Amino acid sequence: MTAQALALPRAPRVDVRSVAFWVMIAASAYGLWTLKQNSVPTMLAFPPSAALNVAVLLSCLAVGVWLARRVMRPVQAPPWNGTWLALMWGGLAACGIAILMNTRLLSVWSQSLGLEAASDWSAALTAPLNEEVAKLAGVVLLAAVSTRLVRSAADGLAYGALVGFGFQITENFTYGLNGIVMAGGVEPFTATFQTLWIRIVLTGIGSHWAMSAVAGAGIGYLVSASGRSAARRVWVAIGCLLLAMGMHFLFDSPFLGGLAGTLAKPLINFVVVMAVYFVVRRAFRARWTAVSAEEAAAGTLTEDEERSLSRRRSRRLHLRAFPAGPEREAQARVQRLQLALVEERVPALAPAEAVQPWRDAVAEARAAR
Amino acid sequence: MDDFKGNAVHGARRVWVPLVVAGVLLALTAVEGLLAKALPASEPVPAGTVIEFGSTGQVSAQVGEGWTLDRTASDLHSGLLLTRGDVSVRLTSVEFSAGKPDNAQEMWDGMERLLGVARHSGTEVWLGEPTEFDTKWITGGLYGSLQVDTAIGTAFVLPADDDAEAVEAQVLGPFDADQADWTAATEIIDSVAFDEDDDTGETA
Repeated sequence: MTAQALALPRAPRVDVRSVAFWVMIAASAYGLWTLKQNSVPTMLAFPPSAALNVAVLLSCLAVGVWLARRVMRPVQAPPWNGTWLALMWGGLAACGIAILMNTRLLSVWSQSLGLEAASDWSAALTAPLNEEVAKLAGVVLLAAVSTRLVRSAADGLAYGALVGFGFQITENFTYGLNGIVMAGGVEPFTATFQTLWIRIVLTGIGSHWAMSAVAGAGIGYLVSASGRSAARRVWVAIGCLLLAMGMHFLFDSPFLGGLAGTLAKPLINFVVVMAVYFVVRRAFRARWTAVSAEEAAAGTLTEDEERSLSRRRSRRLHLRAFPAGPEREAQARVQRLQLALVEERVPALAPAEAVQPWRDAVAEARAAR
Repeated sequence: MDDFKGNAVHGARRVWVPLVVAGVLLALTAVEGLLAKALPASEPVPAGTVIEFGSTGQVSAQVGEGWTLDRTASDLHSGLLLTRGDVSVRLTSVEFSAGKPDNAQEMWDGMERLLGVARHSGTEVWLGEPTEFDTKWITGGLYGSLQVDTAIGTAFVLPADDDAEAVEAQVLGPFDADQADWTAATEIIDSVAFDEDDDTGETA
């Protein structure tokens, strides 16, 4: 039996027939149209700035997606189809929805508060509500696109970060163009560069990706089949959303003004998201270790495989112990199946017998080496 | 294996959860829209009011009788939109953070470039050649004819002494607008000042 003949026993991770998938597509199409209406005239009026903006956007996309996939989820990166859906929702749908909602709520504040209070506080009272809800909707929809995309707080955190990152990139793009207007159309290229510099280098570390990662972790916890009570899961999700809104409020508020404040606020958000990340990561790894030990006891994993499976580097080192060529490729396939098997068992309520096809596939792949 | 419940959104929930998500977003949008419509968009400004605006409130303009402030289009950090009859005055505070222009002509050129955005949006915009002028508070300003679709009027660039910032103004109205409204608009432009304390009226 060749390696190609072994089919991975898993259901598609993205169900294109699902309602959630088409809600995401429709909202993203609306977002794309809104962004086109808002940005294309400025891009046509200022082509060099638009080119700079696009170049920076693509560079940030490449670096940010690599970082988010490499770092934000323990053990292995989320699948690419989920990654692109998350970025699409954040960059198109959430941005388009937020533009519409923000226009309305900003108008409410400017009419109900005094002009001075509205000028100072309207952003801080608008964005945390509208933008966090719009971004978080993407994580909920991802959980409904497939039952396999968001199965733990770690998944929610990674997808939340990706949704927020998509939002951040598009927002940077629009701000890069708005910077020209703010500078009166004088030195437009420099105005765009300055805006991007501030938003990426100075404040990017604690912006949308961090806020959405925190809120997303709550959704991951809420929808996980973890065996926790529904009330606890709901309260954790609400708590995470409120924390994300609080981070956003701090970011947009007039508190901590000046350069020091501009630097301090994203750093505070970064510390918060890192704290959440380590809590989530620890819980995920604890569950992973328990499941791996059970599978090792069942004979699906050898001791070496159990030790090496949970970390990218140790997996690579494990494979290097095999001669390059077909033998290493065959072992790599065994490793991928083992990863899929343990991932399937991460939800605590998953019945152990449900993953028997994965165990069979591992045994089959091992025999085929 | 398709029945495996990897998360809590399975079975019928995979249908109604996305519908609820879409419903919540639509409801939030609708409620915010209704609230915005329910509140008055503009407020009358008492005659003699001095409004300070700009990023640090470093610019001021005095408003005469009969003007209303469009609150939805005004932000003390960036600019104001005032209307009287059919005439509107838009005052925009600009800080040249990207590069200090050498003179008012460069500011005018920047403003003309920005009007290009409106052109690319399908709006018919025409800006005439600038002419120099001074006000009581500002020297070296520029003004010129402006037409935006069917509205006609005047565009102004009012530079600060150090050319690091300016107020750009657009006065627009229909061809047959009341002459008194045009005159009142010109008085607002004349009152624009940088970092000047004015004790002739209340401060908004």
